[in-house]
Amino acid sequence: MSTVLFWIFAVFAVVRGFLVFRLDSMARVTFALLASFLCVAAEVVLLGLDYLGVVIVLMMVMEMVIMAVFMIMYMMNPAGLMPMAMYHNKTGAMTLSVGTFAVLAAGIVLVDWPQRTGEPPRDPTFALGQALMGPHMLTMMTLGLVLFATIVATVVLATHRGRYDRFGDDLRDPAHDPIPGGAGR
Amino acid sequence: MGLNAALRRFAADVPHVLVAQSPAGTAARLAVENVLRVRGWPEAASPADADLLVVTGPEDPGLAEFFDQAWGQVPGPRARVHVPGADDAVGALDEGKSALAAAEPAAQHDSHSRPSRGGSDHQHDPSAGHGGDAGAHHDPGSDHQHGHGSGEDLPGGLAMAERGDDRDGLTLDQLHVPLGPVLPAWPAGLVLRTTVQGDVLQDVRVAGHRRAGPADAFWTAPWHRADTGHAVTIGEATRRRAGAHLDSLARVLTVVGWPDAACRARRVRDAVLASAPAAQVASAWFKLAGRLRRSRTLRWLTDGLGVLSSEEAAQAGVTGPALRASRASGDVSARWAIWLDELDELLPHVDDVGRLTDDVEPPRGQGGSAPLLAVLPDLLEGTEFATARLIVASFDPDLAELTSEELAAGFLDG
Amino acid sequence: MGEAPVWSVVVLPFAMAAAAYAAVAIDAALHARAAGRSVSVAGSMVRPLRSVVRLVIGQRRTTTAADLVLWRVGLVTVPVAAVSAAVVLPWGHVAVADLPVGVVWFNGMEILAWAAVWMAGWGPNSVFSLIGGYRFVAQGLAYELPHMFALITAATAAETLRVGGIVEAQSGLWFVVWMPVAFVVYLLSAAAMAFWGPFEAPLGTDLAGGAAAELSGVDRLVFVGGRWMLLVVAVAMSVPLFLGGGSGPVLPAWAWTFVKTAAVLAAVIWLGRRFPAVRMDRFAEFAWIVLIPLTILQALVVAVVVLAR
Repeated sequence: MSTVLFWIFAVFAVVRGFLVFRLDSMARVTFALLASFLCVAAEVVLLGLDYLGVVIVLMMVMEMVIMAVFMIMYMMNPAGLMPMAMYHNKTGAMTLSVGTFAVLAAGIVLVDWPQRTGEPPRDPTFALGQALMGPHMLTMMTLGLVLFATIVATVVLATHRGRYDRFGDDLRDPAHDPIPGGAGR
Repeated sequence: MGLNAALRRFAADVPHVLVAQSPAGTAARLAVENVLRVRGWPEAASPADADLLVVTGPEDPGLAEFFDQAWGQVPGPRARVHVPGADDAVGALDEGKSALAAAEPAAQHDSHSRPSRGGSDHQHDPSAGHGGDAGAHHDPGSDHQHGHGSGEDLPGGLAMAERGDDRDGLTLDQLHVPLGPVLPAWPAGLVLRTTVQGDVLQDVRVAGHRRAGPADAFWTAPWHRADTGHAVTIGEATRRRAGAHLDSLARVLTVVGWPDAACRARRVRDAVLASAPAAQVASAWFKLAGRLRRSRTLRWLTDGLGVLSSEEAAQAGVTGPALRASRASGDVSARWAIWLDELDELLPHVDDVGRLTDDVEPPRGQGGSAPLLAVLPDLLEGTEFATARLIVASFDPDLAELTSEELAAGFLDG
Repeated sequence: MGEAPVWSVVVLPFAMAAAAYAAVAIDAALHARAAGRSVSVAGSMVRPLRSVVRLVIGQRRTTTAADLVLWRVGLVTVPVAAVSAAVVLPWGHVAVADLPVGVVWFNGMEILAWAAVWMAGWGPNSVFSLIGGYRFVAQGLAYELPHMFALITAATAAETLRVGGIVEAQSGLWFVVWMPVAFVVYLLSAAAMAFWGPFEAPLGTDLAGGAAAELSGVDRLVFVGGRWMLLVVAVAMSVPLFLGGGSGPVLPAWAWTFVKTAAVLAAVIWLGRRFPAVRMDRFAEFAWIVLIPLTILQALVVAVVVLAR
């Protein structure tokens, strides 16, 4: 049963991924990619990594919707419905992507994978986290937070409607909110 | 077949109604809205959700095209009725309901003959550019559409979007979209020709249609009659003025997305206009007014929007509540708050039998609606769609008030 | 906590539809009262049926250069997301599937609504509809983080992501008692997720119906009906998360689930009609600088209590 499901999702994931190159609308391409990711999430669940699988669904839907918004925003296109290819250098892109896929797929078949010894752990997600991070989980979490804060701070400082635009060059002006009224400042 | 007919009759018992009003059709619209509320027939927000298109007011050639286009988007089974005056409302709505119940099972047939809003042949119709409606697509034939890019290979024959700088300095798509005249809680006959980027209005020109002719403005009718030498009581004029404020208030509440409060405002409006005794009207009003004044959310949502300073207001010749609001904070909140304050004062006097004199001003002031239209473009440019809708509703210009001189001066020629 | 037999998968969509129907009936009754009409139980119950029949026999329409694929996928995804999320919803002591990662699954399925509403708004190639779709994405960005923190708070207190486990952890004290902020924020974000009531801006009247502006016939039924199902499932989830699930005296667990769900749903619908629709240009800022810190604080308090216990 799970083998059948595996193949169904695998084929769908690849087909959807390939459609990203075939479809000519920004919106459809984005959602084809999302469908591909959702199939991958199903594969991850089949591996017994429930948590990771569901989190992939959660993150990818949000990410792809936001990506669709940005892609359409930046591409001249009447509401994205104009036929528009998603790649430049057609042959090159095709060779690269199909080639990469072939190499990876060949790797799966050719590599001499070790035989399983022992039973799978009770909670594979936890075990995977342990194997990847070991005792450094807390460090990595903290680091992730710091990185995220850095990104946000950089954007706030850099954007033309950010801190200096609101408070003036010496940051002493009264707050000038381009879209006032939110939390009453 | 028997089952289908029975189902159609069952569903047609509560049809969804799209009301399309011409500027002179206020009385008819009020009558229709009253019947809808009493019967519990919902008002459709767009043609797609309607079964019954109700055109109120006298025929207006300038608007017929818009109404026909809205009608073209109403899915079957459907019916269309015309309500020229207030007395025709009940009969016309009944007629529409029976027409719906008896409608041919046209769904299949229709879906082929009208595959889309407008359809492909419609796109080559030169008049299509004036198609402003709830569906507001890319407005292909718009008179300020740029020339190139309307080749045959474009999807549906629609024109390519243009680009323009946005408020963050990015170059993004922009579309030309006419707003109105078939929109919920929208001034009758008004069309705004807008350039939008996302939901930000970049450029706004006031257009619209109003049949030039006799003064047929409903809200200022008592003043008009007094001017022409008829005896008009203060009470009658006060009722009209209060009704106008309540109607505008209901529009603001509809646009802000508070259907229950809007419904209650309309109930008070209908009671005022139906000559209900002052005490009864006042008690219903104070309950609603209290709720609105207590609502911090409502204030939070309308504060700081569309600020019209008193200098700008005076310069444009704005009068009445909008001018008085500009002396306070001048925003949307101030404008609806002024209506509340004036209603508090007006409603006890609805039974005053004294003769109407010049010191009782009409609902939108002596200057009428033309100055309100004049200040709109500056206030709307750069706003987001929801904000723009609120600003328009907070002025609620009445196109029927425009005099023939004002029409000649080009107030609607944007 | 057990799992219901397999046939419950078939029953679930119908149960959800019935619950959504009841919610629409309550809403219709409240609206009738505001409009000054007499409200009868029979009338309120028949009214949604008329709407359903009307939409079933109504004509479906398309628009010029519509993206039919994404449009229809978006419409269908709304009820599918609602029913999928309801899979982990416990009814008494049984759920269709009591997944070990139930809370995350629930949130993952809710998130599908983001894509669904955006696609539904995008599909018809209409300005109003598209603005409605974008409004929902903005709304999602505003409500999703507070929503997640509210969910995480309940999961932290129970030390499990299994919804059944969260119910069991409340056998002594309902979570609503010592995490009221999370409860309120949860209900707020539940309404936002179902783009209903004060969060209806994506389908706003000012936009002539927004993402639903071009919908008619069965399309509208699926989308709007799915929206009500989303509201029902999101509100119903507050019962196992914060209100002790099926626990209560005298009555059996399934009856308590029913009573609590009905009470919360009716309260939410009643309250929702008492507020105007919040716009995201105002609410997003409120969500990010008020609600998120509040929910993080709530989660912190709960985490400290759990550690100290």
